[in-house]
Amino acid sequence: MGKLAIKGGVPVRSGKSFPGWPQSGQNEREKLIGIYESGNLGGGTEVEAFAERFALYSDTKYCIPMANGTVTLEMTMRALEIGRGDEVILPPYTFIATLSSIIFAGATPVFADIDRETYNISPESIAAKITPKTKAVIAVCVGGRPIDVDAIQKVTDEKGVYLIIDAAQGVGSAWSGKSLGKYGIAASISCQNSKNLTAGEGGIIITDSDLIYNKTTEMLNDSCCYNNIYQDNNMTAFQAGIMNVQMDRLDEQITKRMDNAAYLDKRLNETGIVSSLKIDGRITRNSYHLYLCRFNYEKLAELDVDRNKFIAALNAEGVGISNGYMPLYTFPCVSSDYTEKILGSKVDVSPLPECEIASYKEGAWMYQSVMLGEISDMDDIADAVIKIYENIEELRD
Amino acid sequence: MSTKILLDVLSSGTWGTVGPCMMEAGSVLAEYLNMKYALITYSKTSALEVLLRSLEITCGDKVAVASYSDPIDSLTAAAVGAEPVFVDNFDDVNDVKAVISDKPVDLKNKDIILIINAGSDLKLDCSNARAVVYDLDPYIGKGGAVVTNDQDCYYSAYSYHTCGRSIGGGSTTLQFDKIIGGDFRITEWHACLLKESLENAPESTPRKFKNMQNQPFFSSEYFKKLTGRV
Repeated sequence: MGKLAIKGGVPVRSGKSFPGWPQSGQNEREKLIGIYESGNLGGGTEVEAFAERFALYSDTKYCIPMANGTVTLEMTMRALEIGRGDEVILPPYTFIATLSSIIFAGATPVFADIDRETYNISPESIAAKITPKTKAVIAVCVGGRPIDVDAIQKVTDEKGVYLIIDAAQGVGSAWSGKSLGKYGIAASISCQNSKNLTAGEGGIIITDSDLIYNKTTEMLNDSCCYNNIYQDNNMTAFQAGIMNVQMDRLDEQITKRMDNAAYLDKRLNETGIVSSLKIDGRITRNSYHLYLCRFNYEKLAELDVDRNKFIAALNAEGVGISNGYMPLYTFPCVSSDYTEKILGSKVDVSPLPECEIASYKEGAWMYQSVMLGEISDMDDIADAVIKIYENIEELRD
Repeated sequence: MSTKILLDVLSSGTWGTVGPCMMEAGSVLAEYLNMKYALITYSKTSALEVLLRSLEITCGDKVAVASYSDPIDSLTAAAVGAEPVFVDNFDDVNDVKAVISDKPVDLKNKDIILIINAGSDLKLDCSNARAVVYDLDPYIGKGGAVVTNDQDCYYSAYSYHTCGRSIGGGSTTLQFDKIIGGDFRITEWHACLLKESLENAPESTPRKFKNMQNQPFFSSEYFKKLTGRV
C-alpha cells in the first residue's frame, strides 16, 4: 500500500463533499407555484421582469432572454446577416456550442489559437486569421475569465469585423469595471443546468446595439408579415422566474468564488507543479464557472509522469478535477459531409500548437461549485497536490 | 398534483439538459400517439429545425411546402439553408428532398421524405409520414415534439438536439461523434407537465395559416445568402 489514495493510502478528503449545484430554497418553490397557478407558462411578464432586471444588472441597454446559450450566439450572427460564404473566427478550446452556432448560421468557422497564460483566444492569432471574408470573431471567456478586451477589440476595430463575446460561462464577469455586454457588438450568456445562473436551460444576450435587439426581436416573434425568419427561441416564464430568484444569490456567490480562487491561486503557485492562470488586474470580476489551472508538464515529463495520471491521483484524494476541453478541430463532426454541405466548403482542421499543449498536456479545471466551498476546502486541494508531488514516484508505471 | 411534480423537479437539481422528465415525456407522447419514438423540444420551430437537421437537409436541397401554410414550414426550411418550393398541392411534386405538409398526403414519389406539421392536433392520422412535428404549447405552455417510427431518424434527432451526444451518453460526457449538434432541449419544468396535460388534452387549437409565397423575406438578400444563392 502506498501513501497516495490511488495506491491504497488515506485520501486527503474523506467523507467530505463540495457544495452541490444548483441551489434553491423557499423563494424558488413559491415562484414555481405562482407561475403554474397563473396559467401563463409560455412567457409574458416573468420574462419581461427578468430582462429588465438583468439589463440593469449588466448596465446594458438591452437584455434579450432566449431558450439557451447556443441560440443566443446563432441569433446574434443571424441578426448581423452572417451566413454562407462568411468566416467567423473562434478558439478551438471551448464547448461545441460556439462552433455549432456558427455552422447552424451557415458561416465557416476558422480556428485561431489560444494564449496559454489565459486559455482564452489569442489576439495575435485572431489578427493572423482575418481575411476579407471574416465577418466576426467569437471570443470565448473560458471558465468565465474575461477575454483581453483591450487587445482583441483593437484588432476587430482595426479590421472592421464584429466582436461577439461568448460569455456562456461568464455571467457577472467584468472587464475594467464594466460588464461584458458593454464590449463588442453583444455578449452571449448560457444558463444551462451547471451554469452560475441557471434555470436548467436558458440564454441571454446583453448588448447596447439597437440592431441586435431589433433583429433578434423580429426573429423571435411570430408576426403578420415576415421580413425575416421566425424561430421560437424564446425563454419561458419558468426559466425567467427561477433565474430572477437565483439572481438574488448571484453577487454573493461570485464574491465567494473569487475570494476562494485568489487563495487557491496563491497556494497552487507555491506548489511548484501546478500554477494558476495569469493574474490580470483588468479582470475586475470573474464568475469562475471553471477554475482553470496549469500543470508543469515539462517537469512532470522529467519525473516520468503525465498530467492525466496526476489528475487521476487527485480524484482519488477526493478532489474533483478534470483535464478540460479537447480541441474542437479534432471532432469528426467538423469534417462531416453534412457540415461541408451546409458551408459549401471544408473547415481547416490544422492543429494549433498552444491548444494542443493545453488540451493534451497542461490544462485542468474544477467546476464552480467547488469554489463555493470554504478556505479549508481550498487547502485540501492544494494539500492534495503537494502530497502527490511529494510521492510522485508512486505514479510511475 | 402538478405543483408537486414541479417541486420534485426543483429538489432533484436536474432542471434541464436532458433530465428524466424529458425522456419520460417522450415515451408518454409516443405511446399516446401509438408511435415508437417522440423527442420533446423547447418549441414547435425547434422541433421542425432539429428534424430537418437530423435528415441533413440544408443548402442545395429543395423542400416543398404549401403556398398557404403554417409559416414555420417555409421559414424553418430556409433557416437550415434549404430552398422552399411553394406549391398548391403535392400531387405531382418532384425534384425536392422533402415535403412539409400540414395535413396527411399521399406522395406519388416515395423517395421524397414526407414530414407532417400537425400543429397541436394529436388526433391527425400521420401514419405514412417519415416524421411528424407537433406544437405542444397548448398542453405545456411551450414545447414541440418530433414523433417517428424510424429509429435512425429518432437517434439522429436526439443527437442534434443535445450538442451531438448519443442516447445514454449522459449530460456531461464530452463524447461527440459525427453529428454537429445544437441545443434544442426542453426544461424539466415543462417536460414534467406533459403526462398530466395529455390526460386532460384540450381540443386542437385553430391553425394560423398564411399565404407565404409573397412574404418579403423570400425576396431578401439574407434569404439568398442562407440558401447559398449569393
